[in-house]
Amino acid sequence: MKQILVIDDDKELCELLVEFLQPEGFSVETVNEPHSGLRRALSGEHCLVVLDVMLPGMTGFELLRNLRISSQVPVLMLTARGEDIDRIIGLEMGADDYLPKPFNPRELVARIQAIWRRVQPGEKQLSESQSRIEFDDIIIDFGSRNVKQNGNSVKLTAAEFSLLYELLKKAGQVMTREELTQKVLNRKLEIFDRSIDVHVSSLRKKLGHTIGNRERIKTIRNTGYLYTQSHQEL
Amino acid sequence: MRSLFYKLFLSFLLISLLASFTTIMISYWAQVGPYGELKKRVGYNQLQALTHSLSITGLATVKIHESGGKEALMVYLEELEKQPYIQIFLLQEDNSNFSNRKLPPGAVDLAVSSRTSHDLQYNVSETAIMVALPLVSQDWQGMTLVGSTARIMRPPVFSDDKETEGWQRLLFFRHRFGLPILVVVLIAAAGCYLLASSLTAPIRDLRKATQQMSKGDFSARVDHLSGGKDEIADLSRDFNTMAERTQSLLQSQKRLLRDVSHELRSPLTRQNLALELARQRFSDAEPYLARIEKESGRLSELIDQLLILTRIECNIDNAPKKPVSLCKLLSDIVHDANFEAANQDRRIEIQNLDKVTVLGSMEMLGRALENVIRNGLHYTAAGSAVEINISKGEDDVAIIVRDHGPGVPQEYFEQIFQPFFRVAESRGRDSGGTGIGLAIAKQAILMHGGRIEARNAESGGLVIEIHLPLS
Repeated sequence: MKQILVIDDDKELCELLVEFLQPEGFSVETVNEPHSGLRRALSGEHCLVVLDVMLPGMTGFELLRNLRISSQVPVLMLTARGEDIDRIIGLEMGADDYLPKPFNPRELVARIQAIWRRVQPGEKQLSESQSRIEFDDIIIDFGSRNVKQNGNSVKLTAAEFSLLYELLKKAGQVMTREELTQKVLNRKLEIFDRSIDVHVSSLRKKLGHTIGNRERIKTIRNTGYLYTQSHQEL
Repeated sequence: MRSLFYKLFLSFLLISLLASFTTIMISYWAQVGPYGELKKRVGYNQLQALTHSLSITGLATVKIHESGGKEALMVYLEELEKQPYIQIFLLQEDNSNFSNRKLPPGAVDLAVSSRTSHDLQYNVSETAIMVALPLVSQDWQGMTLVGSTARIMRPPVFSDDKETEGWQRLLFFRHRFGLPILVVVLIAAAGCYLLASSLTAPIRDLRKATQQMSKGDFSARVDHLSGGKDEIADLSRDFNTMAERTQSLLQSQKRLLRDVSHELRSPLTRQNLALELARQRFSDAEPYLARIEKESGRLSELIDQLLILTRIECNIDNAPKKPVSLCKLLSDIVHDANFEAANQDRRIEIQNLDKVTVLGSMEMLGRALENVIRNGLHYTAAGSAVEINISKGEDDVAIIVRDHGPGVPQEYFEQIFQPFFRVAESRGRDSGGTGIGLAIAKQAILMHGGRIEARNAESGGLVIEIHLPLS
């Protein structure tokens, strides 16, 4: 059973979510209050947290910031539509994806499953791709979802991990934003959607902008991103 | 601001200089009248004293000559020369004196006239008083004593000599009063500078705060109230009160918008979930459920648009302006809209696309362009295209979107940018859209300092023309 934690102050919505998600194969725990929500999220019993931005007492952002101090559990944020700044802030704080309210329930299931797949790579994915990549100062282990830089492990969110994995797999090649959005977030790139850019920017922050004196992840204007290879600079 | 400072500074300076000049002139002219009187009286006394001393000197001279002869006389005359204020000469019959001293001008004439009249003669000139006295002695004929003394001198400025008046007077002033005048001017200038700047500094602060506020920083306040009780300090306090109120109003409006959007969306979210659950249980109700889903989607879209419009109209989001590439933005929008347009046998044609970058919010500019283009797609005839033309002008960029639809009657050119305005019933609901797209477009363009206009193309169809300022 896939354990999901929903933190939302809307009790009726939580009831409906439980009823709707159970047949899809998810076991849903709901919390209506942010402090106990944070405690439950930190318990490590859930494989995914659905977090509403508007919570009484503590905003979803604060909760997320506190959560990210010690936990990398995947987080799907429910934002208010039109509040673009919320989406960006959420992603910057380490949310894996967002869904604006009011959402289509089928879309919610699709997003949850996309994140789920990223966290729990299926047999098929593992066999077709390398499970371990070593590149410059970075070792990425797909099986244990571990990332090490110069021997020290780096805490990455699920989205950042997949992004790094995709970029490293094709190091030296340009990946378009469409391609990355599809592969990392499992959805089509929409207009004004800057999610992937936010993830790239937090990845840069965590790994460092440069390796030696070369730029680590290069922005290709109006196209996408490129994880640079050393020999390209020679 | 600058000009106010200079106005104050210069007028203060002018006034203070004028005042000191007037004071100087008054005290100057006040001396001229008494001076004339004084000179007359002193002159009279001088004349008397001179006559008196000449008479005594004359008697003494005759006596010394008679008793001591020429040697004693010479000694006495030498003594006389040493007198400080009076010059005394002894003239012989041929008008020569004994010591070869230079005679003052007019002395000889005066001596001659006194000799002929055997009486005392005097001459009072502007600068000197001269008296001639014939000596009476039996064996010593034709000797005359001439005495001369200087009168009080008018300083050259007081001189009545017309020629020296103009520039010499000035020169004298410069000579005499140059330094004091310079000091006075400098002190006055420094004082006026301080005064003018103390008056304009609070205005400058106020202006800075106003500018900050107009840029959207509602936390701007006038800091240095300087504890003053003057009008400018009052104005600054009033400004701060106003800013306080505006800020709290804006904050409550922002909160209200957030709450409204949250409160309206929560039931919609629940409804969507309930709908989906119903769909799983009652498969035979699908047509009605689909309808409910569609209406729910419309409602959600309407709420979105209304909230966006409110936000733009109140100018609540003061996101910093960033350079936005219109080409990139447009190609994104067209790429997106073309998907849907193709299903309806309509298309978008970009006719001209100059490379232009404007400063602004990408989201708002994007919404403006998207709404205008989608509006064109709604109304353009099946099989036709919406044409887009972006051309860079000298100081603005023109974005022209033209459709091949029925156009809009001229009287409605303004009104189509009002929320929920519909030209005719037939162009209503079935054409889709919420009815606020163009209103949003207009507000977004206004927010960027541009303008948006509608007109009909000559060969039919509506043309929407947007002008955005460059940089």
